[in-house]
Amino acid sequence: MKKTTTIIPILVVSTLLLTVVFSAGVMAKMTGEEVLDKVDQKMDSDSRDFILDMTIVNQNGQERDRKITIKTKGDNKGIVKFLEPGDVKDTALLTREKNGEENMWLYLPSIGNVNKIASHSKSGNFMGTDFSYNDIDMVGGSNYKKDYDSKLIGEEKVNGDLCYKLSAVPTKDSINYSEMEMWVRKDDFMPLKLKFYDKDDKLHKIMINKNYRNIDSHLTPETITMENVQKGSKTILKLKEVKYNVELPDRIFTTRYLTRN
Amino acid sequence: MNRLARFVKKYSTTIIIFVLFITVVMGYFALQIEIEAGIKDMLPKDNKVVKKYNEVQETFGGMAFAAIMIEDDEIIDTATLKKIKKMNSDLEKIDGVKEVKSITNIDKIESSAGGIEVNNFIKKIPANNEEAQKIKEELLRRDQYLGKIVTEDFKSTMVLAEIKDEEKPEEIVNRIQSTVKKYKGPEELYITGSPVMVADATDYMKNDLKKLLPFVIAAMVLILYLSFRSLRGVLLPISAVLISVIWAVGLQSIIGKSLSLVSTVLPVLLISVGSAYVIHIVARYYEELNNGYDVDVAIDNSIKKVGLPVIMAGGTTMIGFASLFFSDLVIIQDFALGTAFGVGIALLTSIIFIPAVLHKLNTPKHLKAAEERVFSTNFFKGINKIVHYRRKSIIIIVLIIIALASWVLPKLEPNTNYIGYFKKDSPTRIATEKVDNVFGGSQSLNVVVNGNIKNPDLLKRMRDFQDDIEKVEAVNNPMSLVTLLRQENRALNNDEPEEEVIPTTKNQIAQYLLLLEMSDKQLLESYLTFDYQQSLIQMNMKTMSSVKQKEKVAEIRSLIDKHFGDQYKVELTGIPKLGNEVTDLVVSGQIKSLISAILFTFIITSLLLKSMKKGFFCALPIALTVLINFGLMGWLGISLDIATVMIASIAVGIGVDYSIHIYTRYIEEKEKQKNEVLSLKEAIFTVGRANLYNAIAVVAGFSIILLSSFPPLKTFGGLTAITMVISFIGALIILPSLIMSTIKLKNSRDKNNNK
Repeated sequence: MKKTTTIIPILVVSTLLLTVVFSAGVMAKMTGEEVLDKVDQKMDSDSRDFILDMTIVNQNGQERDRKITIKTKGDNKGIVKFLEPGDVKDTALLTREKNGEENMWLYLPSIGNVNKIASHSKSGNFMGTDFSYNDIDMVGGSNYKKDYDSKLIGEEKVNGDLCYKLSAVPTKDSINYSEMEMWVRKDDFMPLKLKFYDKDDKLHKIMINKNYRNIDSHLTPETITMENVQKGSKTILKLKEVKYNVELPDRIFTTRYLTRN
Repeated sequence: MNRLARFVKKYSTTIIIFVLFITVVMGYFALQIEIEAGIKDMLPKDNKVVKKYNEVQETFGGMAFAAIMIEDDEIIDTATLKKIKKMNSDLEKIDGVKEVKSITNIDKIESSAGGIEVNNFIKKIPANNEEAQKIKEELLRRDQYLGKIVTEDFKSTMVLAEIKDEEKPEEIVNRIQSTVKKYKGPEELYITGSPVMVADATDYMKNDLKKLLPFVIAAMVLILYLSFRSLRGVLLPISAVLISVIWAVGLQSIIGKSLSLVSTVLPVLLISVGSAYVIHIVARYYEELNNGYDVDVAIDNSIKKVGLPVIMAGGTTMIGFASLFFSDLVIIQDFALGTAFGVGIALLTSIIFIPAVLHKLNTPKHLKAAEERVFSTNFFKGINKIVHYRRKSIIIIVLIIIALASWVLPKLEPNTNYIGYFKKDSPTRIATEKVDNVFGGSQSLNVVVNGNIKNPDLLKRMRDFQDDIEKVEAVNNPMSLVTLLRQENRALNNDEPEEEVIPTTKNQIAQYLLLLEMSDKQLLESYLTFDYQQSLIQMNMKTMSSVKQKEKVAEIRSLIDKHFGDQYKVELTGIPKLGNEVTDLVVSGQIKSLISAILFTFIITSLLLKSMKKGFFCALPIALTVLINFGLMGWLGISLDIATVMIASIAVGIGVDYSIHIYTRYIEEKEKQKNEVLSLKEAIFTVGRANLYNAIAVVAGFSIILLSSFPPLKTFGGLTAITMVISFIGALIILPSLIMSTIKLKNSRDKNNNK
């Protein structure tokens, strides 16, 4: 035991030194902020219309399957609606941001009324999944640069693809992480892996994007997995129908429209 | 026996080295022995009730809580709430604590701008009396917290720390206790809950072991000194019994067993029981030396003449202890194994190791050991007189005792309630009773309903069941999805109190659940499985006697049947269910082990004495002893518990020795003298003395258990000591009286025939 305890600090220090030396060369080319900027640019779209299969797996390996649609317009309007299972069909969540204030409304068809949800729920779970509302924002398009201050700390391979490794700190209080580590593919600036650390600096969640496809000249992952390593649960999103820059009228992002279906 | 004596003398050095080496190895393992006091540890791992309990624990967690009750003139004020909040967060930081709930972080489903929110009930600690007053008003307005987390008079509140299901919950509890201790004063703090009770019991067990061992050793030293009056006569027997203790505990440790509530007395018991064998050997050794023989011959004669009776006595004692193996309770099985093995070792040490050591030593200078004692001679004279002239009264007294004992037999009740393991004035008991009185119970009882919760029919049944549970006395605070959904509906309907109703359609239920899931996932997970197929209804139950507890559980079971019928599979589990199982197994085990003990003793004595009739004579006093034991329990209101259940078998095992010794000696003398009356007298005088020393040692040993911290063990020690006295009297007075009566009967019949 004693031996390893003295070896570990040496290893850590030497790794850190190596990283600093190594990343000095990289940083000459790009900064973390520039990488995030690129990511945002690549993923930017005026509007999106996705249908996705959502599988939630709990710590015991039991699964819950749901089908939802997500529509977003600009970076301040979004609506999520359940398609399956039947008993929650048409349950919908509307989010709108106005003057920096986020508002969320929930429509429960069985009661027929629209309920406002407190905005501090943003760091809570998105629809009972392992994604927080903030995490899910990153699925469709991203606001990485706005939400995080990042630093490039090196280059690493993820599944054979060479990536920029970034360390990012959230700029907003509503994001419940102390740090995010991000691996962005050098070729096309697609984020492949993200690690989220909780306020106690312990690894909390790992997000993995797989099988990027080019849809409407947007690179889109086929599956997105968010694993909560502390709880042992995970959520798998499979993007089924993906449309970018479609015509979405403003009125579908209103509470009145929610109740009309 | 001749061969054994030769073997011992030839290989004395090897024997000593071998025994000491094994003792060191066993000692090493004995020191690593674990202590387990949990209710689950008492029951077999494959027991149905245990399995069910584990399953539910795994699915829903939250069955093991440390309940901390805080008492103050005013709970809802800035200072106390701040303190509770700090304690809550300190407790949450403890490794092994899953979740902590208190008034400062209890969930509230509330309406917010038309929607719902799951928030802390107290969002901000009140800064002044006005704010505190508002909180109090709201607590009174929503009665969901009253009597559960805070009392109506705001003088008591509860902090519940959920403990992870780990191997060593005691360590977690100890950490909780030391954290809580820091917050004591001016508020009063009480801490209880099943894991706390188990941890406290473990502490008491450790103290018991530390406390009882020196006492019993001291008592043995005294008895040995009075018997032998020499250093050797004290040290040798003590080392022999200590070796048996070390081996017995070491073996338990090696085969992965732990010390339990009942095996706490194992060392004490082995020392007092085992000392008898070595006393016999050493006494005979001194006697032979006194008769002028040298060491060599003295050893020879000790082994040859005392070896067999010692083996017989030890053998029956082993059988008595081993018969407890027929119990269905794991702790009693382990105890059976440990004691039977220990007695066997004590036996072997007495007839092999001790003579080997004696062989290596010089002739002792003092031989006071073998001198006659005036007191005991007079004592036996008295006994002989009683047997001769008072035997009719004796038999009448015996018949009266049998009648009295049989009268109360049906009134014997099992009681294995865990709280009964604590003295009335122990902090654990005081805390538990306090929590029971103020918050309606500290034991959690769980009902698991199988079936899709989105089915409105099922939810309705759950609601009706839960409403009925509210009316059951001593069962309180049922919590389930019904509670959550009612609160949710109220929140969705402008917080109108009359809207505390459950949703009624499948889609409504599904969407309500989805909304709850989105608001606070954990809240839902405590009461519903991921696949919506199993729901938990949790309630608190007061501690009560085992019989009442059984009735209470049966009452709940009948409510389950009433509301769910055959349509849904509904299971009931929790600590009270485990307690009931222990109670049932105590009773069934009692019957099995008692019957087998008496039967085996009868068979063994019949075989040894080569006659069923003689076997029956020897078994009779002991059967009487067992009956008197149960009679005493009945008249004194002592219930059958994990400790008292063992007395009968132990009494049979140890007590029969006295009868065997008396009866064999009587037969031996009869063959020599041809005079039955004189033979009986000789038997009383010679064997009686050995029996007396033996009984004194055993009674002293068991009496020391009276110093235990556990009421059931105290009762066990006291009752077993009394039982030993009775079986001693039975062998020395009742058995000879019976023999005398048959002699007289035969003589008068012979006379009549001659006429």
